[in-house]
Amino acid sequence: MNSTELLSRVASYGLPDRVGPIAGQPLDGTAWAGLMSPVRYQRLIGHLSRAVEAGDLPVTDEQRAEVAEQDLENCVRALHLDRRLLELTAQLESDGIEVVVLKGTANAHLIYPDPATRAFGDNDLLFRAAQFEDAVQALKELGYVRQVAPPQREFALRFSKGATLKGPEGDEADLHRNLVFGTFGFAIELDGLFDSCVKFELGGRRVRALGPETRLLHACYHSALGDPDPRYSSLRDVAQMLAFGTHDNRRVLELARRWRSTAVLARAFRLCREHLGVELKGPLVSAVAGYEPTRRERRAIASYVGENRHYAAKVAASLPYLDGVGTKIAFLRASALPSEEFIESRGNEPRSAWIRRGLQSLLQGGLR
Amino acid sequence: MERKPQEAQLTTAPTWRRDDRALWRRSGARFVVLAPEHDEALVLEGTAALTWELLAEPIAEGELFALLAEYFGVTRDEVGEELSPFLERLLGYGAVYRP
Repeated sequence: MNSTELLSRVASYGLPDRVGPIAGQPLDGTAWAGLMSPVRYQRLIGHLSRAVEAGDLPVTDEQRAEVAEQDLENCVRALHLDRRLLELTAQLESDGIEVVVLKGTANAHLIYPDPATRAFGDNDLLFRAAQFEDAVQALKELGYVRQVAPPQREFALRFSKGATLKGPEGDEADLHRNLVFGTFGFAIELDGLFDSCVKFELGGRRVRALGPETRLLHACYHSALGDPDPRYSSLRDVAQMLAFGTHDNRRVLELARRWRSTAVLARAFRLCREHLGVELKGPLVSAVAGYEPTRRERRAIASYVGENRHYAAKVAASLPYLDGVGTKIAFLRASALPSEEFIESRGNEPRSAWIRRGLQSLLQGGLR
Repeated sequence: MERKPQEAQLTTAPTWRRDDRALWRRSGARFVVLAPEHDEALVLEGTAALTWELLAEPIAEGELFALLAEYFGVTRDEVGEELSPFLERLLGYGAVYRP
């Protein structure tokens, strides 16, 4: 078994058809080192730890100690992030700001039998669009600093996905006003996300998270559009929800239709199959199997994960997803020629080079 | 029917339970606990981890000692001698309380 297969076996450990031994004997030093490095990056230490604990991945004493140590470190980090989440949500709610917990934290507590299985590295919070800037301000007052400036003020208020802030103790908070920037994001019924929320208990408090259907859809958006090479932990979230989730399949499909995101689901499921090596099953998978994305959808997806992905490509690909000429013009005006501060905060590229690269991305295609 | 003295003692003994505000995770056979107002997490192993599991529901001190005594094949007094300081430490740390 090569290192990629081994990693996919760890990432899929515990899924249906993936119960039982991963290997027959302990890995040699080279193979072990080749596994541990991506396990850390892919946030799979919890899955690996459970496989070792169950005896499904035989290990040497030294390897066992390494896994135990890293699992413990992961747990400590998660507890501190949970603590910070409680502090933030308490402050925001006392300010009258509605907040919904997204992604890693919520998934850890809601979709895995043991939250320690799901490692995560920051806190993701969703706000109503109308309260987003108040939420940013509230965090700034707690010492958080915005990492990337918005291209323009109107953009931040009407069209952005959100903002990343870094806390005084180095923790990161991703504040969302949408689940994804541009294209598919414009079709999401944002206020509706708050209507179907569920709650989970954390530190004696009830914390809000997306409902099972919108949570699954968000996991698909994140897996399909978040990165050309999505983290295995994100793909596992999708597979975990498909296998054990409490979502209503018909409602998921209905939302996907209304949010014009069937292509996103199809891509997320395909990536799960390819990276985790599992055969996904169920009515939801069957319903999108064989879905052929339209040209517009292919272009939209490429603007996130294609070889020529760029802010300008996302802006261009977003236009068909906006309703009304007035909105399209407002979006273009808010997106065009972003501020110097915005470009600087995205890297050291000079403004002219950044704009030139954006124009090039509009003229080229390509989807990995 | 009159209660025997030992049963009466069990019902009046202090009850222990986890503080809901304490955050925790299981890591293999260990538990990691982060109590309110503390920045250092507590790692519980062995008997301490087993005790934390038993504290998932409110439990009378006598019952807790009796369960552990049976598990380890020792007397309740022996368990109490070892466990009382640990429970007091958890109490001071803020991970448990006596309702």
